[in-house]
Amino acid sequence: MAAGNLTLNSIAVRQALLSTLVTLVAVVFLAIAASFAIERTMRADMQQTIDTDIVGLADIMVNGGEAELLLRIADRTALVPGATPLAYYGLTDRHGMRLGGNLQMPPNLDASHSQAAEIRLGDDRILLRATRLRGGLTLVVGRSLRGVEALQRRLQVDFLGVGIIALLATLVAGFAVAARLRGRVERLSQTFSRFERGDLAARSDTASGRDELVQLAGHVNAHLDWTARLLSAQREISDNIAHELRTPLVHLDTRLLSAIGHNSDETVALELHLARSNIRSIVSLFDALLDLAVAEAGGITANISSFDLSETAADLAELYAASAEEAGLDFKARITPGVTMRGEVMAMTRLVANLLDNAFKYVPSGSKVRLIVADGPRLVVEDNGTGIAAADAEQIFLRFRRVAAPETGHGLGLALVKIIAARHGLSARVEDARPGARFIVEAQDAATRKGVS
Amino acid sequence: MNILLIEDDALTAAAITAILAAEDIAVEWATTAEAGLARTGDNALDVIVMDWMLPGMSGLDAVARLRSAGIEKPVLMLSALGRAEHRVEGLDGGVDDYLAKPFEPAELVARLRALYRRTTVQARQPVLIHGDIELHVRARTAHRAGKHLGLSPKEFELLKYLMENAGEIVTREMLLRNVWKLNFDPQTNVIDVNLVRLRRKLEDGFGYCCLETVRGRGYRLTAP
Repeated sequence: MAAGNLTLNSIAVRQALLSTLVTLVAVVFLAIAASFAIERTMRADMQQTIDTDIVGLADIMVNGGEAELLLRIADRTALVPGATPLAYYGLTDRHGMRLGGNLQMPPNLDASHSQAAEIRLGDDRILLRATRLRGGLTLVVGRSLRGVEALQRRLQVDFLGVGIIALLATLVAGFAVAARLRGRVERLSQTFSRFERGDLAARSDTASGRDELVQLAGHVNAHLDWTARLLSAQREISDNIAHELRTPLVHLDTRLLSAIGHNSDETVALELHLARSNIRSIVSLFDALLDLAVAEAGGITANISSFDLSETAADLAELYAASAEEAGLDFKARITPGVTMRGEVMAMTRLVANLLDNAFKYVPSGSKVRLIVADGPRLVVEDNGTGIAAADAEQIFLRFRRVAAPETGHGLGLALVKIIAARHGLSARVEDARPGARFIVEAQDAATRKGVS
Repeated sequence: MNILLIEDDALTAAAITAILAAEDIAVEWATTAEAGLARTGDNALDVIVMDWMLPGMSGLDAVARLRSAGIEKPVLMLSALGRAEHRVEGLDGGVDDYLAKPFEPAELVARLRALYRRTTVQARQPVLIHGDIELHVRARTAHRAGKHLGLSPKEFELLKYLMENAGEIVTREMLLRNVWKLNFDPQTNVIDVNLVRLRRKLEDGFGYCCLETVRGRGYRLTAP
């Protein structure tokens, strides 16, 4: 399933988790802000109520005197019975003696400036204001903040409930979007994979909307169109070069053959045969160069399949065993059975053959040559011949570079090894086998772990 | 043997006709795929030699058309496109053999004779016999004068191919492609030494046998 692997590595999953976190922070922030707003509004309301109450009681004092004031205070306290009242009153004389009200210990407030304050009385928080009345009396009026706290608690419970629902909704929606997004990105990525495997007609779907991914798919398709055109043009050019170059050479060869047929002079015949052999060398050099160019550019990749590298290597080992015996070489293959890989069988066969050709060409008679295939895949051709100088270790994989001057070959075999290896995600390198040379072809990440390139 | 040659280059066509005439092989020449296809229904025709890059329809398209019309006559593609990938593409496209230009005249003749013989009964027989050599195709065993020959699987394939083409020259490239399934030529003389080894096994305890090297051309299984 395209959207099956929803792990933390997925951008879509990280986005879903981030949205959930943002929702969580937003809900908490909203709860705190609402709580503050409620407290501020309600305190302002209470302060106003207290002030109105004070004004009313001051009027009573003016019109009815102290006795009337005490009566009204008693009325007010009686309206809210219980041990924890919502309204508080206190009246003291000029010496601070308590005259009435439900405040047992009047707070120490500056009544001459009508000071207001919040005090704590047991578990209760109270807003108070003290004011000076005629005759030096001090009137204190207060309101409990219990109501505000109760409202805040209810709001917190409500926010908690809403918050959990919002979080779950964000999480579910986030993951649904993540799965869909991942599926679409996966399909885009599969288009590239199909193209790389040789399906040059592979394109992404651009008919399902106009969002950013569809726009990206459009760019991907344009890029693939361009690459397919380049590949086709490159193929056409290389085919034309091959055709246009070979045709005059074929004519030349035909004329030489005809000349050989009409000639009776042995010296001339030898020269004519040499000329034909030179034509073959030119053709084979151009083929080798075209092979390199096509392999380097990606070329035809339609022949990619899963294959048994062990079997391929074992077949070649059998083919080369007789040559080794003939050349007086001690050649052995150490092949782990069942090593499989994805790639072009013929290209990998050529890679192994080129490495063996290289070893057989350069080691003196009596030397050991080993072909090793192990899991990974890891492919090694090593010998105990003269080896390769450290300074040449990189150079020998370049075109036309040889460590010695052999009688045959174009000096392109190891260059092709390197390119075929790279096309299969493998690295090719040579190291000192003390004595001799050890050519290693293995997965690029395995080579990187060992600190080589 | 009757050959239909589809080749647009007159000089090459003349050279091929001359080479084949010297071997008593009759050649009918067409310069385009379209003209060639019109003649493929001829029953006397044995093998088609087709160029790849032709004016108009390409040789590979012509082969596809031939096969879809149910004509199974063997086709040898003779092309200026000589890289391994072209060979694979040609063979995948339905041609029976592929030879790159420029070619050795002997190689062309050998390939044509091999294709011609493949259509005869001998190649499909369960037991191949050549003189005192017997090859049981299904049991994958080989005997000479009743004595078992200890051949490796590849040596068996090699002997089988040589016996199927007994009396004809088989070239190194034919052996590489048909026995070892390789579309490129290794630099090492692997084919020659494997042939030498097979010859030793055939001669071991019997004296001279029948596998001769035809200098500069290939090998031939002669009468033992």
